[in-house]
Amino acid sequence: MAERRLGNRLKELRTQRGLTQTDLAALVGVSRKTVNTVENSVFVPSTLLALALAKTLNATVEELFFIIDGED
Amino acid sequence: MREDDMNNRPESDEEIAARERQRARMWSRKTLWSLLFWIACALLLVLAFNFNVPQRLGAKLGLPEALVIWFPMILLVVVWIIFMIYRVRFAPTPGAMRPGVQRRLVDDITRRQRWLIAVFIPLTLILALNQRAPHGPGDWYGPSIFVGYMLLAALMLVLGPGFLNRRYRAANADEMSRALRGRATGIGYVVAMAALSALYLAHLFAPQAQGLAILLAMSATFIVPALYYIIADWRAGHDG
Repeated sequence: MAERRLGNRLKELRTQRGLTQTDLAALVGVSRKTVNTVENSVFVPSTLLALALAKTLNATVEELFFIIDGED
Repeated sequence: MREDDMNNRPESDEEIAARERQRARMWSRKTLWSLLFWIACALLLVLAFNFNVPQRLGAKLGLPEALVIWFPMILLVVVWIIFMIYRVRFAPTPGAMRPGVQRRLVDDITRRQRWLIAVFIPLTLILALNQRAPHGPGDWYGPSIFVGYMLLAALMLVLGPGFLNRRYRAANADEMSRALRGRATGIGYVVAMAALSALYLAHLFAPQAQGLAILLAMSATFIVPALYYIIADWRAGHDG
């Protein structure tokens, strides 16, 4: 089965809104390292955090996150 | 009275968070100094007992030996109580528990928690090595302290440092920290199983080394996952 990964446009949307990782972390109520690892696709956020990030950035979850299908 | 109070302007979350950070830094410095004070006192006591100072002093002053031995210990406890009362004077900043402030302090608290776990690693080794001496039937307090300490260390790694403190709740609930603690706990389980297997082998083939093996097994069960947590937490903030 192809390996699926979670991609995101978090950095893009964050910088568009002029926010630093620290700003976004403070707005959402998580640590900067959480934002950093989600941005770098190291950490897959929970549904709750994904929704909170999307709400803070004024975007939908689908705009923020997408699935990357790996090769078989 | 603060300038903001005089201007009747309510303090913003950012201002309160900045004051909390400053307060935390002040306490870090004070904690370091008090740690040095305790180490110096402990060294002085050891030296005093090694050179039979209490006995000599008791004989010279005509006081019972027990009183001279207990006096410095009671004095240390009194100093500690005074320090705790002094600490209470510095109550948390008003509004420090506001969700907006707590959210801004998550990074600072997680950084401090990493240091706290790092301090527990050498402390575990020191306490474990201190337990190597044979214990008599009445010598229960040393092993009891060690066992209590190990349980506390395990709880700290599973629930997050300062798990009983309301101010650490937001940091302990941080998603990445929780995930890292979960992974560290998993690693701890594997280490615990390896340690138990090693203990079983020690029991069969080297029973004389069983005491040391138990101490090493207990220490490793905390130290290995703690090291993983510290490194992974540090990397999570720096990668990318």
